[in-house]
Amino acid sequence: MKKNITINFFGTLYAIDEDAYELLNRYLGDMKRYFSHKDGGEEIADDIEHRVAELMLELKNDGREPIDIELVKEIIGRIGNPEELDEASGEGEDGSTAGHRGREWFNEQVSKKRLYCNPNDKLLCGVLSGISCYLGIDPVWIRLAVVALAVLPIPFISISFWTVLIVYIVLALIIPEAKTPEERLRMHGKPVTIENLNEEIVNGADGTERPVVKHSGFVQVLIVLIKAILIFVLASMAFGFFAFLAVILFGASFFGMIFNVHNPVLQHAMDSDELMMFDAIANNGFTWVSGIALFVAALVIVILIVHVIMRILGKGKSLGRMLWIYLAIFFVSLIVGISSLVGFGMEMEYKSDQIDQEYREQREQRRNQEEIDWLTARGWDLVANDHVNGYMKRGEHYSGDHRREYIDTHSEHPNMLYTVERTIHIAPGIYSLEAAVRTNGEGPEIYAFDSQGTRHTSPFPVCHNYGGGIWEEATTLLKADSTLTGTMAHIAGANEGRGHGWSRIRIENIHITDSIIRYGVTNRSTSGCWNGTWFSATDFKLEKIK
Amino acid sequence: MFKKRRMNVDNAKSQMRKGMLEYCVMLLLRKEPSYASDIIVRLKEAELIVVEGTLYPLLTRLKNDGLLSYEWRESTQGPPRKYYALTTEGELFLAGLDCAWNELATTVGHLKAESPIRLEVKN
Repeated sequence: MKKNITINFFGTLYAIDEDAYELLNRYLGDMKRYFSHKDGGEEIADDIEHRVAELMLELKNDGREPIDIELVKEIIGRIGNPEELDEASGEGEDGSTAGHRGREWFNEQVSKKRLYCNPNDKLLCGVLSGISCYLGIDPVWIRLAVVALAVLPIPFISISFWTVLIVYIVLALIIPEAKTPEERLRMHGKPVTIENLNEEIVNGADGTERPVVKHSGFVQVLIVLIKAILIFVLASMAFGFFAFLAVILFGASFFGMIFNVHNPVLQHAMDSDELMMFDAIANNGFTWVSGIALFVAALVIVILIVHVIMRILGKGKSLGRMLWIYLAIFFVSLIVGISSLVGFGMEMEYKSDQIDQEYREQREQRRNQEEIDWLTARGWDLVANDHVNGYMKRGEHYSGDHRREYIDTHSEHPNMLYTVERTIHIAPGIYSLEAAVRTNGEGPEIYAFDSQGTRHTSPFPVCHNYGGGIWEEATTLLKADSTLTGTMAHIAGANEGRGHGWSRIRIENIHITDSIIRYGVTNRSTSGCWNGTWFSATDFKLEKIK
Repeated sequence: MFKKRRMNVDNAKSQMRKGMLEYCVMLLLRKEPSYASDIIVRLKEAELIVVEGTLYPLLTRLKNDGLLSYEWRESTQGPPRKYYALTTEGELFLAGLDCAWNELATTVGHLKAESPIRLEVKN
């Protein structure tokens, strides 16, 4: 029983066996290919095709339809194989180089052993079977070797299952399946001659689609199982990437936001400049470029996985060169995606730094103004404020009351200069000035001018942030009477019982005759010495002695 | 040894035929324009060609050299046919070949007359 088809050849219909048709088609194709490298070769091939048609017509008129493979072989025998027709080969040495070259090229093309996936003996895609054909080894050994490589922990050459799987997938995608009889001949390294083709066509005619090599029932069950597992693994990978795609697609506009909410540097800046930040992200070119690029990369992966699944199911074609194009697209978009993400991150960091800086400066200014207002409200004039950080503070008052405020500044700058003073109208008389002060370096003093303009001063004792005269006094009292409560007890307990370095200092005998007194505090005495970094002062008390 | 000599004879014969082929084809066309299959029939009768396809590259080459031209003629059965004819240039060329052939035939005739054929074959 043979499949029989009808072909239209130069306007005439012929009934012909399918294998005969395949042989004929192959013959005419070879003819075209052989002569394509010669002058007027197309015309020659065309003329020969006409001759074939003529001979076929003769057969038809003789009533010898359907034309079977023997008749086609007869026609081929009459007209001759391409190499036999080449007149250059018989014309001596001169002028025949072109012909020889063409012939060599042809022979090389048709008889070189090629690597194909073997459709006639396959477990998954026929990759290993094809390789074994190419190497001339029994496929069982190759299969066992690959399984061993994937699974067994062989010392030194232990390759993970995943590496083997990925290499297999890549090979399955690149290596084409030997579909035509010609390709099957090349796969086995047999010369592609009309005789061999004929044999291959006759042998393969009923088995071109189904595997020729049959496996036992157990192996078949195993194959189905492996296929199912592989497809499941690949499908879940595809699904994962698909989910990733969806996240990129739908989350593209929120991406920048997510990126920033988790950025601790930005968190405090966000509340004041949120709008500005979101705007910067939404209108950021980097976000879009990386979004699109990663989208493309994920899409390529999904496409490739789908191809592999199709291939395992026996429906897909090999991608061949297309795979490299896909991979190139994948890597380019991955690189573009990641680098624009990095670029985006860098830009955001820069922007957040900028915004942070602005915010800090604004806050500083606002705070400074508040503090200067505090001074003004208490009658203090700001005389000097070079390189100072802050004007007042609360939290370490000697009383232990964290809400009580005091004059305070700090600065690492060696030229720091902070002076505030008050001018008060009072009754003439002799006055004394008292204040609670502390510092970590020599230099600060309180001062007062008498009516002659003489400057009276009293320097701060240097007690740093511990102890201090006030604390010592309170501690002594507490030792004498442990039941003591109230302010003095608080003072003794301040700074975990070690005080905050406060001491009380006094200026005596300030003679005021014109009812005006000017007094103040500074970190730099008239001699100009200052080797600390901070000082505090409070509780200024002007007392009329006489 | 015998086999090898036999092969050499075959080869020489085929070489001679190939050399003759071009001349013979042109001779056929001098009589009347013909299409390839006619020529093939005549050449096969004369046992000048083994495989038919040999003719086509030859015809195409002669046509490309300007010695032949062809025209398409409708056929009562099958596709239209290419009818080849000699061009003026082809006629001149053929005349040249005639001279060469006559000279060759004379020379060969002389040589054959001088040395009679021996049909001994050494083993």
